[in-house]
Amino acid sequence: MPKSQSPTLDPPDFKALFEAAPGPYLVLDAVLTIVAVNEAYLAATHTRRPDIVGRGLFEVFPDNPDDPAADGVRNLSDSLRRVLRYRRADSMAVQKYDIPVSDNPADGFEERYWSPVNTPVLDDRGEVVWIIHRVEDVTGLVARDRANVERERLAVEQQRVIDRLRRANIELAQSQTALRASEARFRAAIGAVSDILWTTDAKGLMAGDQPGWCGFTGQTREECQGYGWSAAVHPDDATESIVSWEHAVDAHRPFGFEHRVRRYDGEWRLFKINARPVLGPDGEVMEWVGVHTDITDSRRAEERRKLLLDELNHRVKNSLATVQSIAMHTLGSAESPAAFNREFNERLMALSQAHNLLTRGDWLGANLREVIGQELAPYQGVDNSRIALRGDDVQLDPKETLALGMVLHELATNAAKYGALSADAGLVDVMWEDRLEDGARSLRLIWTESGGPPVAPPHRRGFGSRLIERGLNHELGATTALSFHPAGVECVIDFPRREASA
Amino acid sequence: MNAAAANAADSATGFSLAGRRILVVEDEMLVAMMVEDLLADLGCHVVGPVATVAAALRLVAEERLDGAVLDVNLGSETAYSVADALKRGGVPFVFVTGYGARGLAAGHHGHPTIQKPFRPDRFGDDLIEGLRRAGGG
Repeated sequence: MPKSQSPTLDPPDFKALFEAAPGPYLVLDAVLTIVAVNEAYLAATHTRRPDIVGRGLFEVFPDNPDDPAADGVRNLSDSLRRVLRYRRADSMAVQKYDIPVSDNPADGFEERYWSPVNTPVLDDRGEVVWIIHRVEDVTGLVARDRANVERERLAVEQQRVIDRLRRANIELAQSQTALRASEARFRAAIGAVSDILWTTDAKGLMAGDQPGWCGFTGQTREECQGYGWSAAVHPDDATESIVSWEHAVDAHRPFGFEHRVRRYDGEWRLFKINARPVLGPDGEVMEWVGVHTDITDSRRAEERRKLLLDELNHRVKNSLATVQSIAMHTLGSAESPAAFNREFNERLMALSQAHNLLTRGDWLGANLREVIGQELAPYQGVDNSRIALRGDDVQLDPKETLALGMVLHELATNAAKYGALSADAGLVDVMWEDRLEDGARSLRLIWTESGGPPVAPPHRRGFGSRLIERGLNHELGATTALSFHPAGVECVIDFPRREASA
Repeated sequence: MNAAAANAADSATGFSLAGRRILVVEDEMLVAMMVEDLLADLGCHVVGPVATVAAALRLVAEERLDGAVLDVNLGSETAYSVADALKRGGVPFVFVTGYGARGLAAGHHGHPTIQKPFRPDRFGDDLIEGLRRAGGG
């Protein structure tokens, strides 16, 4: 304002200035009666001057009775008391001080925030005469602040949600990775086992991809669906398979079965089947999972083991019967218990030695030279000149080995007892040949004794003679000629060969 | 002693082995010789013994037989086809086996058997009883 103009003017109308001041003002006396109010205050508080001037401040502006947290009256009266006591201006914190909407209390209160300053006006003696109560309605500011706070809270909340989503996403990715790893492991396991894994729907119908089953049988995905799989099951097993499968499915019971399945190359394989229902959370059947285990080889091994045991049992019992026979026949011819003991044991040893030769050759057979040599070994002279063995290498089968072993034992013991081997100068010549006549293979063996005491035919045919003359014929189909020439015993044995000689 | 056992069996069952023509099928020569002797002691006339199915079938076809003693296991073959031929001819027979009655093939389960090794003192009774059961009388 230009200073040059002011001295000429009348003093301003302070009342008019006060009432027109833009900020809301209220003037109280020392007992807090409203003595003046400007227009801005009236506007802000929805009041009219005649209604409030001359009345007590708190009579006009009581606390909002609907707001249990309202403390506006107390804060304002505290501030005003401080002004009266200390005679200094007192700024108050932003106050919530709700204003009646109208004169009618039924209209209620309007939420307002105020920033008040109470300033004393002192007289000459320094006493408080008036208090200027200036308030600024900061409801808008507070609302903005609150909006900011709310926005901030929302931002924080939003961030938290975003973080949570991100974490969930990471967990999902991890569990997906774990699931993929687990599935890969499962698939690798399926590939590693020879078992066939398959699935059906809840009603027991094969459905979807069945790589195990299709890979084994050569059926296509379409061919195996439903009950199509039964076309690859052996016709003799198929009906029973279906019936008992339906039974298990109806009863929701685990399924166990055995049947033959045709492999893609046409070979029938025997399988053990185990299947069970996959149950949902409420115990309802969701699907069926089954495993076919190929037991062809183990079943064969089992059967072979049983066969071998039967064979072993058969041989043991036959051997016992053979020993029994030797005992009975030796008893029939032995001249004394001591002779029985010696002859019985010698025969037992001959049988045992033939077994030894066979065991050495895995029971495939034995070499004829070894069979003869073994029986004659006890009688070999020191210079090896008393016994001559002449012949090709001939491989005998087990039956021939045992039969010839026993027969040669009888010939040797007879020679040692009565014949060439009972005298120092006696000789035994054993000659054999493997012959092929008209496509028929046969073996001829000739045993010739010489240089022993003169031979006389025995009074009765003993066990040895019977074995040679009839036993060999019986067991090998042999033709034998046992001659008791005075110069020495001669035995000619001819028998057809079942096996080609080595 | 076996003849005595046979006589005892005779009186008990009215079935005599004396003079009966008995086929022996057994591939082990020493066992065959023993069966032959046991049967001879009982007064039987032994037909065979033979070691193969082919030889046995020939005798079944050609000989008049009153009974037979069949070893089940004949090396690489079994005596069941001989058993079937005997059944067709109405000739009673017993199996001889180390397996026991359980070791017989299906279709011959429960047929009379004599166990290897033998009990010589029981052989005659066992054979009479077996042939009687096999013959349905």
